[in-house]
This record gives sequence, C-alpha cells and structure tokens, in this order.
Amino acid sequence: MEPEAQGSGTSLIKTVLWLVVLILIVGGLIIYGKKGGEEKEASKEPIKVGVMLPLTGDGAPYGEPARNVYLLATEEINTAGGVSGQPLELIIEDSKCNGKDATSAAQKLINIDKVQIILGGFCSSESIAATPVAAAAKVALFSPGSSSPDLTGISPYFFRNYPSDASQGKVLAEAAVAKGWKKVAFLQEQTDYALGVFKAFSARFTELGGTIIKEEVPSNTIDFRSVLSKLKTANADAFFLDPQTLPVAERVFKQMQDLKWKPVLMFNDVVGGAPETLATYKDLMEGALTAEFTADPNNPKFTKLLAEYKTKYGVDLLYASSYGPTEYDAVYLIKTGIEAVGNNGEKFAVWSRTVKDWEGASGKTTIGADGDRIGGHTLKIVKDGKAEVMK
Amino acid sequence: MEYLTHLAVLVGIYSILALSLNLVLGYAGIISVTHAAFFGLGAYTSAILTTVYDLNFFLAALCGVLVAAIISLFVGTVLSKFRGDFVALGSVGFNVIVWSVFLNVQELTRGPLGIPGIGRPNLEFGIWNYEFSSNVSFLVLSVIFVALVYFLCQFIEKSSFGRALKAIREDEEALQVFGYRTLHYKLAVFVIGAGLASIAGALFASYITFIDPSTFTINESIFLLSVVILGGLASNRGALIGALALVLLPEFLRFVGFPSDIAAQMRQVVYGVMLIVLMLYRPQGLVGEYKL
Repeated sequence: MEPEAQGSGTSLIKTVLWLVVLILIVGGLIIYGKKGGEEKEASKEPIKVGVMLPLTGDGAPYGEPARNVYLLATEEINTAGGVSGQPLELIIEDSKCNGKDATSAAQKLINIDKVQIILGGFCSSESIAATPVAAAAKVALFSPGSSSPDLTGISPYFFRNYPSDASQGKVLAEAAVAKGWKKVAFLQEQTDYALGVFKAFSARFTELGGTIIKEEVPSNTIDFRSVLSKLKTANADAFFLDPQTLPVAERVFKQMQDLKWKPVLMFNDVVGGAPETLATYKDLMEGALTAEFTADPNNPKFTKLLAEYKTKYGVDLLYASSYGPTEYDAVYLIKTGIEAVGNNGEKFAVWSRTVKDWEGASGKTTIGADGDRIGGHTLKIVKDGKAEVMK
Repeated sequence: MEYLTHLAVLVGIYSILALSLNLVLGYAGIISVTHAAFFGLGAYTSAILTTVYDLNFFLAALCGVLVAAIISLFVGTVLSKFRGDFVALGSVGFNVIVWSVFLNVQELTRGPLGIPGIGRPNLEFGIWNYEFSSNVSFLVLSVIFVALVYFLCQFIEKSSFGRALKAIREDEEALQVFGYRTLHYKLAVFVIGAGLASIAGALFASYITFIDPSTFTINESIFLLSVVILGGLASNRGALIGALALVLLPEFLRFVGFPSDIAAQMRQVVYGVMLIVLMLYRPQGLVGEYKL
C-alpha cells in the first residue's frame, strides 16, 4: 500500500504544477492581449456589437467572406462618422457552425462583452441554439444567413434579413405546376438548407397534385452516376437539383454530361446565383427554372459593395448574389436601428419588425412580425447561360 | 457569471462523458471510438420523447439509458469478436452507422434539420412544479448527476468487478485461466459506460435546446478519447480534470488577443500545440496510472 500512496501523492503535486503552468501560459497571453487592446485610441466609447461566425470547421468557407464584409461595412460606417458619432466595434467570436459553440459564443458576447445586439449566427444550427440564450438576456439576434424554416417566429428577439428556404421551395413548386409538370425527379444533398428547400417544395408540389421521386446524397459524394442513372430512368418531366454548395452541383452537371442526360432542369439559389456555372454548362441549362434571392446588378449599393470588396481584399466577393449583400446590409441596418432606438437589444428587436422597404445592397428589406424577411425569392429562367427574371 | 455558469454546465456534461468512457477505456482497456454514438442516442431519445411525446425529462433520460444499454449490448457483443486495435476500427464503424441513422431516419430525427425547441427538465409533484429553466438551476442538476456518476465510478473501481476489469486490461488470458468469463465483464462495463454517456446526452439536448447529427460524429468520439487520455486513464479524478481542461481551454483562448483575422485559426493551433506538448511530457495524462 505504501508505495502506491506515495505515487499518487507525487502525481497530485505534478498535476497541480501542470495546472499552474497552464494557467500561467493562458493568463500571460490574456494579459498580453489586454495590453494590445489598451494601446488603441480611446477617443470615444465605441458601440460594441457581437458577431458570431463559423470561422473554423465545416462552415468556415462562409464565415471568412462574411467577416470580411462585416469589417468592410464597419470601416465605411466609422470613416463616415460612426453611429450617432460613436464608432462601431465588432467583437467577433467563432461559433463553428454548431449549437454548442454558438451558445458558448453567445454567452461570452452577452455576459463578458455586454453586447446588446449580436450579428449572427450564420448556420441555422447556430441561430436556433443561440436564440434562447439571447432571449433570456433580452439581446437581439440578427442573422443575415440562417435560412431554416424552423427559425420563423422562433422568438421576438430573433430576426433575419435572409429569406427562409420555405419561400424558394414554394415559388419553384408553383412554377413547375404552371409549366404542366406532374412528376419531378429530385436530388438533395443531406444538409439542413437543402432539406429545408425540399420540404417546402414537396409540400406545395404534392398539394398541387405533383409526384416526386427523390434521392439523397451525403455532402462528401464524388460519384453521382448511379443515383443519376436511377433518376434518369424515372422519366420525370423535370429534374430538380438541390445542393448545399457549388462543387457538388458542378460534379453533378459534369456527370450528367458524361451520361448524356439532358432533362429539363430546376435548381435552388446555390446554382441560380452562380453565373459562372450557368455559363459553363450552358447547353444543359437552357430553359432551366431557378428561384433566386438576389441583388439587382444595377443597384448602386450592390455594385459599390462589389467594387469596394475587390479593392480592399483583392478578390471577388464570394456568394455575391446571396449572403454577401445581406451581410453588408445587416451592419447598416444595425447602424440605422441603433440611431433610431439606441443600443438596446429589446428596443432594437421591436424596431426590427418596423423595417419596411429599407434600401440596401440586397434590394428592399421588409421584416415581418415573425422576424422573417418578406418577399425573398423571385422566379428566374436560364436563357443562353444567364438567369433572367421570368415574366 | 452567466458565462461561467454556462461553461460549468458544459464541463459537467463532458465530465459524465469522460467518466463513462474512462470505465471502458481506462479500466477495461477497450479502445472505444464510438462514445459519441451513445451520447447521441441519449440526446436523440430524450429529445424526441420530450418534444413529440411530451414525456418528462427524467423519464425520457431513463428511456435513453435503456436504448443506449440495449444497443451497446448488441454492439459490444459484435466488438468482442475483434482483437486488439481492431476493436477501435470496429467501433469507428458503429459511430458512423449511428450518425447515418440520425441523418437519414428523418421521420424520427428530422435529419440534418435537427431537433429545435427541446425543453428544460421539470419536476412535477401534484401541484408543485419546478422547471430547471435558469442556468444556475441547471448547473445544480448537472452537478448532482456528475456526483452520482462519479460515486458510481468510484464504487466500480473499488469493487471486485473493478479489480477484475483492471486485470483484464493487463492480461485477459491470465484471467480466463482463472475461470473468469472475461467477455461478460467487458460487456457489462461497455453497457454501463454507454448508459452513463446517454445521460450526458439527455442533459446536453435539454441544455442546448437543439441537437443535430453533426454533434455526434467520430470527431466528438476522438475528442472524448483525448479528454480521457489527457486527464489520465483509469483515474476518475483524471477524467474530471481532463473534461475541465479540454472544455475550458478553448474558451479561455477566446480572451487571448490574437489579431482578429487569424484569431479563430490561431486558437485552434494553440489548442493543438498544447495537447501535443502535454502528451509529449505526460503520456500517462495529468493524473493517470495507466498508459495505452
């Protein structure tokens, strides 16, 4: 017994030592970080706004450009005199596109940084999990990217300027019926966004008497040939492609060409909002239907955003036709809101429901009583490799 | 304070996971890379039962334990056919299967959309109704659960059952020679570990109020393995310390003043480096008594 007891004694001391070392390292870094912060000019007390973004993990490809857009808009606002004379300061936290990290990020922003407004989450899972946290603390949560239908009316403290997936599914279903299509082959990527689109489409389409033959593929699928062959034999009136990301769509189009399958196409706004893809697969696309939530290319605010993003970061804005403009507008909406009702989460959330025909880079924004953006997707048809508004 | 309470709840949930995995990995020496599956089974069972069937949280959590236990009995039997490192590979496969079920059985799990709006636990006796809606009350509840699980694990460690497990870990054949049915011992601890993990799942679902399949992937199983290994194998205190360190470390790194354009990535890098350094200098973990 004796040696064992001694062993556990020394191991305890070692553990304590290790913990001390760990605390010293982390503490040192924190103090170092604080020092860096203090060197900044403290001319006027900045207005702190929290930001939740997926900067690492699966959602990172969306988080990076989003952060750039936020910082660009904030810089513009601050050089133009800030919000009611005070500079805007973004406190950016990584929420990793999952509920657990989103609640941690929201708790930190609300209780440590004492923000009243949080810009985010981006992924729907982030927004769904962070909403109860924000609501309990009476902090407004404003998402420019979460599109899950589950978020409609989830809380008076949540709103979004990105339309719900339900809107495009419905628009496309009605268009398909109007075209006289009875049977649609459907290929869906297994993600929350794509499933949301499918659910909305299928609810409306079957209600109007249509039938759907559906196949699902996981996000990491490379070879679609067997699924495509199966859908091809279904002899449907149209083929609806419902991916989450563009690479998946491009692989499908490539393999459709290999299979020499040229059905009438329908697709969601991921493809509809990608002019290069439409041009590359021009011969497949002719007459394809898509519902797109998009900025008007002639909108001066939108063209300004594209130009300034390119100047500042040296690359073209990704998701220019979808998330980019809503993210840009979100920062300006926060400015407008704070100027109207002050930096108060509760008042800001109430104010958000009064936003009507607000002009921004994503067009006119109107927020409904359920916190959703009203309007949203317009039906488009692809002609000669370009998506045009269908008359 | 609310932020610290939140972190404490997460530490509590991960402590239960670490304690339960430590039984399987630390004491019995079964390299199980599927603990997130049982975590998920508990979370999904209780989430579905409380949201769709309005069952009380505690009953739903109990059902989760039963589901996890039954499934783990089956999985454990299959895994017992493997030897050595192949157990680890086989268990990875099971984690993938469970994750695919969460993703595909949409009638039940809503697939990638996840289950939102899961309620907080409440206790009801006649007219007296208490809901653990504040984070502080939830923390108290999770501390009670952690304490119960901790004492159960301590009890197992001290019992003859625990000693037999350690002996199996050191030399399974020797124990078989003495007439022990080692398979039964290993199955029993595997089922107990799975049942306890499912309690953590129920707490997690009810605390975060939202679950989706992406939380219960192999990555989570590997994270749990690192919690247990870093804390120290075959030590219940080690499991608690591991959970404390690995849940809190990335959160503390939020306060390190990295430049904002690389902050998130730098946090991951620092976190990774710290894990590597710890493993280099303390391969037996912080307080472990056994090395893999």
